[in-house]
Amino acid sequence: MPRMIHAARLSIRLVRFELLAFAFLVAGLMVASLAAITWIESFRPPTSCLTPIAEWDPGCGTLLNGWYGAQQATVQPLTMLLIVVSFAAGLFLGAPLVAREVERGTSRLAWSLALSRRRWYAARVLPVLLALLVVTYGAGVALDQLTAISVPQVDPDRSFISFGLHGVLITARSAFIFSVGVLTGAVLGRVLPAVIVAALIAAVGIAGGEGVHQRLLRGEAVPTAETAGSPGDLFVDQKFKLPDGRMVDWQYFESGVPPFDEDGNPLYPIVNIVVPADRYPFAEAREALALAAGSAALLAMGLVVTQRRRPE
Amino acid sequence: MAILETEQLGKRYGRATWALRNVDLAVADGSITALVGPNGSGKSTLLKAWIGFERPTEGRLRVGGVDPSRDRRGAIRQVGYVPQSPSLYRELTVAEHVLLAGTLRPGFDAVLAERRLGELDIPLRARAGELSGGQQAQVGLALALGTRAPVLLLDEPLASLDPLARREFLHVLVASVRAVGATALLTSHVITDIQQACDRLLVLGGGRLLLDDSIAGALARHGIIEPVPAGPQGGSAPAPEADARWEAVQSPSIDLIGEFPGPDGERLGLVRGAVPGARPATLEEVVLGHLVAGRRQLHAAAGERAA
Repeated sequence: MPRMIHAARLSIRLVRFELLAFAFLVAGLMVASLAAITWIESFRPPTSCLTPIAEWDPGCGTLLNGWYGAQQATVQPLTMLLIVVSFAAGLFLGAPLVAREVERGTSRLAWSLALSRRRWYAARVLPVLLALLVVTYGAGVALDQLTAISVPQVDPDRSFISFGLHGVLITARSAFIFSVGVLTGAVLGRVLPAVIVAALIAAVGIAGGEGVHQRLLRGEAVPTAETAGSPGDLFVDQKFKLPDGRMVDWQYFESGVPPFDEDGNPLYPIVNIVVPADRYPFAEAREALALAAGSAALLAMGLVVTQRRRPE
Repeated sequence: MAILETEQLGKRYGRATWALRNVDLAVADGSITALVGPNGSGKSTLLKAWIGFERPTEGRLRVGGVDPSRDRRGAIRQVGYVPQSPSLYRELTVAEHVLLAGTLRPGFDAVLAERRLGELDIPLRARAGELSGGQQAQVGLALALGTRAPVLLLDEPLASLDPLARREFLHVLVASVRAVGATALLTSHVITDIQQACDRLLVLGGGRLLLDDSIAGALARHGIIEPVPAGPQGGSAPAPEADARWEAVQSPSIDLIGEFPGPDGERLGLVRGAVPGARPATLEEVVLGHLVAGRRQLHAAAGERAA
């Protein structure tokens, strides 16, 4: 057991600068987020202003303008920075992990001493991955708070607003980028090319995965009356419900009678096709698990490459 | 008994580049052997094959009876390895390197490693990046000795060291190896140093083993004829007093191994056995003569293949 603790400590020691830099950056951004949230709260209009325009009190417009202005000035840049720093942490901690050992020749020493490269790999990868998870979880929590302040009408834990860009999915995506980096670094054995290639692969992987998940979510969408939905629902489509129960979209009316009367009122009930906000925890857990499984597979491939490759 | 062996060992990179070809050798247990040869002769490849870093293309090899391509873990257990050029983590201190070695290698003797470093006044709290080349090489050696492996493989450990550091390194190596009865095989270009430290000499050239002899035997069994006239391609005319010696060299009973330029540009001929008029060869001349002969054989073989 002490051997494993020493090995973990030395692994962290080897990436101490990078880890501290990202930890301080995330901590700084968390503090800045907290300050921004407090500042935005000071602009918060009364609840009576958070209603349809027709129901506003006099002066709501000015109050809301100030509130939204404060949000735009702080929430958007902080959100962007927290996401970029989290993903960069995954990339810059993962890609050099094996690549730097090969590039600098330290793998010759380490692999000549290690009876098991599997243990060496585990000792190098797992402590750094754990530290990354802690750091990026902090970023995810800060992003939850920023999402909550920017859309106060919804619970960020039950809302598809900014799906994938806050909470545990930030941690899961960073871990995925880290794993892509480890594998790419093990294959290429050079830090800079590994960082570049891993960034490209991770971007394609995350975008592709998100596309697949969105398609999956569309299949789970349900019709809801236009007025019954929640702002946190994932909007998929809008249709008209015909008297015979069929739901049709705009194209259905292109060659015939328009679906509105002369005053612009719909002739048929409008139905929104949405994934209800209540499904968010399930969708979030599903994507997080998929990313975790993908990361585990990538790290396993990294191990296979590490075991087979020769030090240069 | 041989602790390091190869049988018809070959290692090919790509489709046609043979780093090693048909290498048969055996290194006796308890010996200190020098493996010399020019750059690209396959020295590092051979050492890496013994520690399982390279897989042979053909033939077999064993270290302590273990085939590294079948049992890498077993082979590594037999070997303490000092890699070419410093391979230390520059962020870690010397003490952390010892700790790291302990986490990687069960049974690593940290006390032994730290005692060796202490004897050399290498500060344990210094970062590896702050050490001189000589000190880094000593740290590498201390880590290899700390494994208490029966075989030490040292890949160009002297390459970046100044003469004094080289001398100190070899002194520590010889004393340590002799003290524990281990076997050491080191590759080097610096022939004068290894002559004092090693008891056996292996010469590799063009991926082939050109000479395998004890140091004393290699010196006793070779001589130098000087100057030897240039070959048919031209060059300096033979000095009259050299004629007699050259005639002797041309005799079928004389085994002229190779010709190579001397320090003043004169051509020297390495001959095998006692030859009238020949002076004793230095170890460097023995190595040079065999390397030249090896290159000539390689070119001849290539010419035959092309034809």
